[in-house]
Amino acid sequence: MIFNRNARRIREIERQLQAHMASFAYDLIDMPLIADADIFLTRAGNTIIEELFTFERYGKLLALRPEFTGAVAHHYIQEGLQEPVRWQLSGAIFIDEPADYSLQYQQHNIGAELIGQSGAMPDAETIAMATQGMDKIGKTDWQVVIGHVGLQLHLLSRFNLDRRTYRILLTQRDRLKTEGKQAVLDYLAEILSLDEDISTSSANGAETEQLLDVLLDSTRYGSTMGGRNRHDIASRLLKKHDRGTELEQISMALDFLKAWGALRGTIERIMPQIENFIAKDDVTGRKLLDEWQETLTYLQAYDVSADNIIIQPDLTRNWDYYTGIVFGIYADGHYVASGGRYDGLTQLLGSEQAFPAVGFAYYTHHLLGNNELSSVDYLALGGDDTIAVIQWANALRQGGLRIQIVADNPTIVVSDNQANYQNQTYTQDELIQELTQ
Amino acid sequence: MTQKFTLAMPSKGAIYQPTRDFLKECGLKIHKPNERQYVGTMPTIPEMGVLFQRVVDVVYKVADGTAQLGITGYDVVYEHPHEDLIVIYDALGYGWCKLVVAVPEAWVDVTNMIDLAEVALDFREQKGRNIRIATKYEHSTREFLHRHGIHHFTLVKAEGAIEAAPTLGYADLIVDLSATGTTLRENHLKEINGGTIVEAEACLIANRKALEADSELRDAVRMVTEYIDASLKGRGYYQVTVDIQGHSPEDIAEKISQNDITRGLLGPTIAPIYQPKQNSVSWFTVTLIVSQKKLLKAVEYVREIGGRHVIATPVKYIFLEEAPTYATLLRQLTLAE
Repeated sequence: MIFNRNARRIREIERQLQAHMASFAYDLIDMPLIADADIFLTRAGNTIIEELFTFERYGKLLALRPEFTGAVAHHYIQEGLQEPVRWQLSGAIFIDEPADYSLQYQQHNIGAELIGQSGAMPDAETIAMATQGMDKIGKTDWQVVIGHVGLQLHLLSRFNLDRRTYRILLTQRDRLKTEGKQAVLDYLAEILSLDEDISTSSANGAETEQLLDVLLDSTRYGSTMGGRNRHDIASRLLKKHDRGTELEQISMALDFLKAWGALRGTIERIMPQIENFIAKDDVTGRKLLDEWQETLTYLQAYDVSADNIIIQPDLTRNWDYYTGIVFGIYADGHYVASGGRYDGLTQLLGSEQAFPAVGFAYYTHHLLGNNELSSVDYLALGGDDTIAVIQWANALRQGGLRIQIVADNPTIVVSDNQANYQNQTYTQDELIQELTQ
Repeated sequence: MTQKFTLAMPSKGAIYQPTRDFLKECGLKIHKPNERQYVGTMPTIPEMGVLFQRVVDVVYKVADGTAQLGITGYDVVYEHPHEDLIVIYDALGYGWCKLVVAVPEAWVDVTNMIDLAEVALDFREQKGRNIRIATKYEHSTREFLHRHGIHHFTLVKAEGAIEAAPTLGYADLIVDLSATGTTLRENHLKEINGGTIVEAEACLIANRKALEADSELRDAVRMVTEYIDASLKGRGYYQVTVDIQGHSPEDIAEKISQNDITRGLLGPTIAPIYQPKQNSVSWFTVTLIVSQKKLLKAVEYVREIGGRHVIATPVKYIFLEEAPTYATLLRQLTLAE
């Protein structure tokens, strides 16, 4: 249960983390709970989309925010900003039909976004700030797992697959690890029509005839085109025909993903292995790897111990908008925070310019832990003369004490303008002095 | 008599008259004193009033408890799920149609939902906009598309002449009801494989809370379901009477029982025919209940074993030992001890 009696703990964590992020010059802002659903649907992964809390008003699809990043990026471009900003946010986020039924529809996140700066320094700052925040709230037993979506996508681009195939391949990594390559190929054959017959049928089959019909502007299909033109239809038909030849490429991509997905360990052990995946003449790949190395170097300067860092190059998050380094902080058996670089999101949301950006969020419900909250000390005040008790309570509260007025068994008994506390008699000033020492 | 309960049913449209005909065949004839009025009665169950509403309003009225029972299209119930609605019959046997995804015929590259998912992505990435779908079934469409991995789309709310939307240019494809497919074809649209969202017939729904709270309502519903069950069950059968010559009822019963088709629900009823002059071989009248689909085969068989004068009459009702639909309904309710 996230709420109820945890409210005080959440506020306490919030206060500590906000102060911590403010020390990195992250300014507190807030975003609306309700926003245009498209803001969150852009580049959301399937899990996020299924869990997005949507509803309609006047023909417009709205959503309860499932996170901060999309709304913050949208706000940045709506405001027409160009300069770098460091923003921190805290508040409710919503999940429709949470998979973990112990959770509620409404949860709580605390996050930070840095928009307008690229390179290794902002990445390192974000990761370091997130991990140091863990120490600030007393959670010192954590590990940060770091991957690189950008490098992974770059290495996959060698296989010349279309974007949809890339995305589907990436969703199959768990199946690849647990069930093997053939199981993935069987699945892809089903959903991508990966059938070797397609390429042969294209030479003389009915689809070729359809393609010619489309190209020759046959009128047998009427004039209803539904927002597509003949070029769209013909090129997609060709793409379908070519898919049979993609099989070999997909098979090689799966081999790569299997080897790539097996990498997980310390910086010292894994980074040299990652280097082996990058060809000597692959300038872009080298640049991405160098930036990643640079980020890790900066993390040392931030005193993030290498012992607490796990390199897992195929780490991905539920959001498809990440373009570079991604990370997750693991503690108490959960990912308690995650984030990464999302350089293309502003452009996807309508900006002409793709502003570099990096951010993360803590999942507050996973930070609460099982620790009992320290009880709050209230002093119980009572007496027969209610007016006198109220006046004493006012005076003691002004003196900085926490007072609750009780009917039975008061700790402090007010009588004849004096108070009896632990068998001693006090005036108001004496009692305040005694209790605030 | 003041009606204590209300059955809401369509006031017009494709299932208005079929619903009245169906209820009449079930022995639950609706009396509508004035065609312009929106209320009627059900003489078989005097405490049940009838309220004529639009199909979608039938769902709303039952959901909010204004009516306790309702007959409407299952597609409408599917589109407007409500925790207080309980579906007693999901298919009453008339008003069949299906809610389908239909794309322009010119989209020769789109034959199934996987193709459509790709095209939706192409719209997003190549045209910089979502694919637009005209429908009045927004909830069902959205849920169905998400289930098929299509997440980027814009629903264009439309009422009537939805099939024209792609031609008129305000949508790229449609989701709508289709019974024969003729209207789709006339508008150069086609269904795609795996694109049927739901198949629907007329259905009977009820308000769960009202059923759980009111035993008199449950009694009325039991009567309604008894009639409907018995009528639906009866529709599949014919009562066949045939005269057969034989030595004894046992002799006839053995012949009749040798064939699965003529064995009947429990077995044949055999009655002797009075003949003034006693012969060693007597005549008997045998009464059988035979499945409608196997009527001719049954007639052929009774002829083979010497049957004469075969009379086949449609069965109006078959009341079983318990009302199966009512028993199922009770199991879905949480009733106070």
